[in-house]
Amino acid sequence: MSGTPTGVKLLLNVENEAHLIGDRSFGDPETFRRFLGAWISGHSPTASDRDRRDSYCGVCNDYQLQGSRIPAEVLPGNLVRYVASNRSFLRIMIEKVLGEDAVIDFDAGDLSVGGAFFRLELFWDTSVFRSEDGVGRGKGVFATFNSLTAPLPDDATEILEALAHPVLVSSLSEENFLFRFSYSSRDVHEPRIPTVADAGWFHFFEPSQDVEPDPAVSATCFGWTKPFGRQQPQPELVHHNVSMQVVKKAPELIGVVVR
Amino acid sequence: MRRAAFIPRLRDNGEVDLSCLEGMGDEWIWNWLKSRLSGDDPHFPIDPRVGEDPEALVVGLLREAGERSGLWRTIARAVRYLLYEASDVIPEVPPFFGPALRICQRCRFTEVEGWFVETLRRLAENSDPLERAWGERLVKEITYAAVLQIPGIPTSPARQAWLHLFEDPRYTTIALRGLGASFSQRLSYLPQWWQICARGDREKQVDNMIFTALKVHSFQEICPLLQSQQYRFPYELEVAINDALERYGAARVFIVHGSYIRSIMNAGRRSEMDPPEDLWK
Repeated sequence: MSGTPTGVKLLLNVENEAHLIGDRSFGDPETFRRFLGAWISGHSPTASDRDRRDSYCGVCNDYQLQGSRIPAEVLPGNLVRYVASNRSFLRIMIEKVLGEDAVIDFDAGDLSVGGAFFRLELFWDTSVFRSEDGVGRGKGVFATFNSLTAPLPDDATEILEALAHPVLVSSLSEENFLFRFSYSSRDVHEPRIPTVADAGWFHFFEPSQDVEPDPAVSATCFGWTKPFGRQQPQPELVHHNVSMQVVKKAPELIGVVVR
Repeated sequence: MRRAAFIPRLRDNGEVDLSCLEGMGDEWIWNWLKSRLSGDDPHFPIDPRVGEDPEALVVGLLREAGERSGLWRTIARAVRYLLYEASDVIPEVPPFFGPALRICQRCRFTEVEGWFVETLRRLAENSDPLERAWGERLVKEITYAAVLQIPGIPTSPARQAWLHLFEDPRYTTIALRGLGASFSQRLSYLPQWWQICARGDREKQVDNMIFTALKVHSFQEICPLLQSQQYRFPYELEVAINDALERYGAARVFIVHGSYIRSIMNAGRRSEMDPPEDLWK
């Protein structure tokens, strides 16, 4: 794992992880000890790189959503979810709200990303979503919120830098669009500080500092991104996936990403 | 001969440098693609926080490389292997299957035509076994991809399958697109489609058809096409088309009458007769 830049950073992240505590109190290492034990047992020196990676990702999956709990009193009213390089998610919204004909136009390029968002706003209707149509893909979902101390820039590329999302393809702008939607924090269950387990193999994640969450100092109650470039870190949290039914207002296209 | 180990390369601006993938060979590309589309890429990590699609990078690379490139063909062959692999392990649903289908919805590969013709025929014959095995969602994704891969032009081996699916309310809209690549080709199927499509679904599909037609063509182009269909279209379809045109700032094209007047108009009307031009003046 330590033989590649990705592995080096993942290892560093694990070393700096302080909030993987499950339902125990801050400073109790038992959950983290079990995480490490499970990881080590799958990390046999005789296994292939692929098997060791699979094992690590599997353990991360098992330990998702076990960071420090975020006290209800510090939660903002609305959470914001940024979604990038994710046509399949937009496709689902198009299919549900605008119909199958629109999906085919979108695939063919006859319905542009901008056109899709314009029409989603016209016809937005949360009743078309089912309980399994989540705001994210997996069990846990990352979200952020508008922080007064660290406002996000307006530009799509700068936002992604602030969120530390690497943009790997920029030659095709239709792939690199960024959008956001918001929902009430009352609609989510047990928001927590993100941990290395929530980030999985994604090494640009930054574990939260080794400080006990203190509701009097709200900044200690969230994770913070480590931005690329000169952007300010943004608050982040994870929560259980919830249905798109909680998204009362149509998602908003921020723009395409230019590097 | 042992192949050199893969060294991922990014350009200064963070883009993937295509040249690092070129020449990696079928087996390596197949393994990488299978892993990436399954959600695991050790070389170009997938960001779980913003819900990155695993196939987005692949489609981007294909578009950049172009259809004539060696990389396009290598990836096309790898996608074909993955599709057949998914068929071989039914009723399992391998994690790469959905993303592989989504690549096929965006990029046309001659290499996968055989798989799509075969699968669409099976679906048209009896959709139950495939829907039970893969779920309705994935089966629908197959039909979306089939619109691009095997359009139902008259000479296509998939045409009968498309015609069959057109009769099924769950697939009728997708099949309409499979049968008619252009707006004008689709018009002749519209009256039948209107009867088959689920009631609560029809207006939004028509709205999209008009929105895209206005965008891709122009009102001047589509207006005579639509007007040529007057009296062929059911009353509600004409209303839906008029409403959509108005919503997007265009003029109505149909003079829509109540059913009473309409039935008088249609009574005894021979199909080759055109209504007198001054009838509604």
